[in-house]
Amino acid sequence: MEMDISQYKELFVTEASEHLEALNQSLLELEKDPENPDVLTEIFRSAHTLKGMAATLGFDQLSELSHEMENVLDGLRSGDIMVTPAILDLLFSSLDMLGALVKLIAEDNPVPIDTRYLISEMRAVVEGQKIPMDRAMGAAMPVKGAPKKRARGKGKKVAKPLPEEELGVAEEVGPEEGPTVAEKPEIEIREEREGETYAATPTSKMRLSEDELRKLAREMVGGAKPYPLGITLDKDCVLKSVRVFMIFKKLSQLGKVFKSFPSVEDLEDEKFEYFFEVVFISAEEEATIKKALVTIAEVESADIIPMEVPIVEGEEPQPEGIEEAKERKVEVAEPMKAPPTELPGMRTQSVRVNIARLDNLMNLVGELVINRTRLMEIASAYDIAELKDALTQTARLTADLQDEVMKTRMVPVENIFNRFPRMVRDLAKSQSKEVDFIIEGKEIELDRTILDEISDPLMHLIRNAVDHGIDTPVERERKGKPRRGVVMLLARRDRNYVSIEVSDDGQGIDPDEIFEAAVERGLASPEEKRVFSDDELLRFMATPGFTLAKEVSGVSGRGVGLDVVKTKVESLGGMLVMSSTKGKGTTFAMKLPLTLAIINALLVEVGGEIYAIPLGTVRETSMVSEHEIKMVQNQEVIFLRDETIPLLRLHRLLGLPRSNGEGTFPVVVVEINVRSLALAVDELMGQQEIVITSLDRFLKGIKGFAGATILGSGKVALILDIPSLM
Amino acid sequence: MLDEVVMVPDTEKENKEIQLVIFQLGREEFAVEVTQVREIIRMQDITKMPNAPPFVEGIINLRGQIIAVIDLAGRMNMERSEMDAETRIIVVEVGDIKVGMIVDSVSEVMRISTEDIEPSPALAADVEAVYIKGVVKLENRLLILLDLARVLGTEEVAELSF
Repeated sequence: MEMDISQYKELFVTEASEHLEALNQSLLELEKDPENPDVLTEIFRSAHTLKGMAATLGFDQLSELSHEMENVLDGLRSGDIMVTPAILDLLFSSLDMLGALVKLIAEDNPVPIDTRYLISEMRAVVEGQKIPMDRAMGAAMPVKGAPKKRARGKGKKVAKPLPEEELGVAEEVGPEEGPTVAEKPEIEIREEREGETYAATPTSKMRLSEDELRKLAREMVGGAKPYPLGITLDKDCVLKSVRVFMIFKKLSQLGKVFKSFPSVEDLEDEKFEYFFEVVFISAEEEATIKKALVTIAEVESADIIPMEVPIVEGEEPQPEGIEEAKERKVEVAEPMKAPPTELPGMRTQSVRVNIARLDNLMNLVGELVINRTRLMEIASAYDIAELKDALTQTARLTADLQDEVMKTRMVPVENIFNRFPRMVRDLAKSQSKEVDFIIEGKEIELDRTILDEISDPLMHLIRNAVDHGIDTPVERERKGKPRRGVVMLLARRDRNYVSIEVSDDGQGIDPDEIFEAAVERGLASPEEKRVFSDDELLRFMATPGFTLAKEVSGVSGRGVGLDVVKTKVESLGGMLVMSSTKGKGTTFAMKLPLTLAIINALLVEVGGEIYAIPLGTVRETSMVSEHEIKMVQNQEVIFLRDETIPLLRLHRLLGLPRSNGEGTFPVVVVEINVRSLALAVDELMGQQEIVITSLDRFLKGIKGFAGATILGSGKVALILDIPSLM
Repeated sequence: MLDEVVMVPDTEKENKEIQLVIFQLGREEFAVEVTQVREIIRMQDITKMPNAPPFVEGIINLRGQIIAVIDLAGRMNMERSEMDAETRIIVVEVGDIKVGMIVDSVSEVMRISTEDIEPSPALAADVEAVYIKGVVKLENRLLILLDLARVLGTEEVAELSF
């Protein structure tokens, strides 16, 4: 009865993470609204499901910890325990610990984690003891063998450091850990009571049609008999589809499954409670079958159950097995109780799809788009009305298809937004600030890949807003503002891009201070002082290492890491915009393309090859004559309006033959970090939507290119990654 | 894998048959195992790949997939022949890497017994021995069996990043 856990690990990690996130959110809600019984029920359910899943796959530490959480939550629900900040902190800490454990599982990382102090604290709470207020906020603490952790909840008991091999079996605690032993039976009793509902023998819901009965009769060869089986899974069984799979596998070794109720598809989709039926044909004895089934983990029982069989009046002889089944037909007095209506397994109609599949699909659509362009090019050479009609139609269909495929890759920003309330809460709390965190537009959708990429930059912006934007309550009152600051996270769709904005009603950015710091860092000279636009200020602030250190708490200042944010957003083909009013607040907006795979690019020709420059980095294009080029500190520069812009000859950067450099040539002005650069090219070929194909491992190490694309002609063009070229 | 096949000692009579794609490069005849060959295509327009090692000729569009093409002669420090109507690109796949190799011409697919593969002697004239897995001696021909993993530098991919 072994089972390959790794196969389900990924599924587990995904689902567990979802439950943790749900828990996190519900806990935040509970903190705001401690009296709400619905929220508690929600939390309880999530914790319970998590426990079940972890137990199914043998992640003992996880299931143990969530079990203790469940007990605390149960106490909260029944009113035995009051919702206090200390309890909430304890629950939050446990949640973080669960998250850490899931992460370790995901990474196959065998670092032992000591969960005992949390467990003993929770037990203390359940047993009605107060938890000390000086309790350290428990973040995940890898124990790396040596350091000892005190179990503070319960007297002076010291939890021993976990030896390596104890990972995952932390449940086996020594006899001196009284509460474990003492509590165990009680828990089990309670669970049995809960399980009662499902223990009653249910009546059969399976009905066989006449056709099926005839078919069944034909299967009765070689001593095979039909067994109407009722199989009940443990109530705590999660990943039920896995169980179903194992049961069917086992059954197929012993005979043949004739029919199941619900259908196999529904069973696989977990559209059933804990009980399902099969008509099983086998030459084996009943006892053998039963034994084989109940040895599968989490199969509570497998029994022959009475089934109503319509009498078949046909020329075919009634198989004796059916007769048997018919004889056993008994009306069960107590029908199975109605199952709870809301089941975790019964969500909206959807399927989980591996992101790689979607990537493939997107690639194929990309190819289709390329081929469409190519066909159009060909068609334009011939004047055939029918061909043009057909192609217009095809063009529309591919556009629709592209749209649909793009939509399948879209996920609501909610997926990452949801993790921020907790962060803001913790951050504000640690700095004794009062912050209302408002989220708007979380239903807005973005390409999954982009969403993953902006998670960190977004965290950065929000952290900055709380850290440096919002003042302390006292300071705010002094400035005539409400004590509570507001940080807002907003997403909205703007034609072809999504704007994600982080704003605060804090101190705003002082242009003078930024300028001073810029001068200090040699980014500007004191004479240049004038009124700077927000864009220009942002350029200063997004310089690597830019900081206003003296201003804020001597540790870090606004602007820290903005360069990272800006670079990331730009690498995704988007842009970062800032607007700020001193004393009123600051807003950062990330404007992001809806999807990554297809971008707008400027095609240029250099040394006989075509290159694509992502339009996101292009500021403008211009024509320049040789004689307009000046030398400044050994660097060619051009003057564009009032600006001095370094000129780089692309053919040189790429080591390509020099084009006829005489006369005038086009330049593409790109913006990299804060600097503008003019790239000399041979020819501008125009703007085009291109499909990005990444270069495989063989070529990955080569610098200067963000990927390649296939042009309408079928030729390959490289996509320039200017920063890495220099 | 081929490694095991090639090193079969004489004592062990493991007479397995493998198929080889035979191609010409300079004056030599080379072979690669057919299972590593994805397809053989005609020479086509190759997009140059600046900053790549010299033996990387560029990239091509293989039905929507972008793959690198290498100059096999250059890779093995052999003299390059002129390209003509016989020039082919053999697309091979080793591990997760798919690469096209420019060869002078492709002549045949041949079935040989693994017994006939001999460890590489020093006689393989112009070719760097490190890329050779073994040789196959036929009546009046000598086929050089390439070690593609080595040729493509998959063992030392770092080499490609300069």
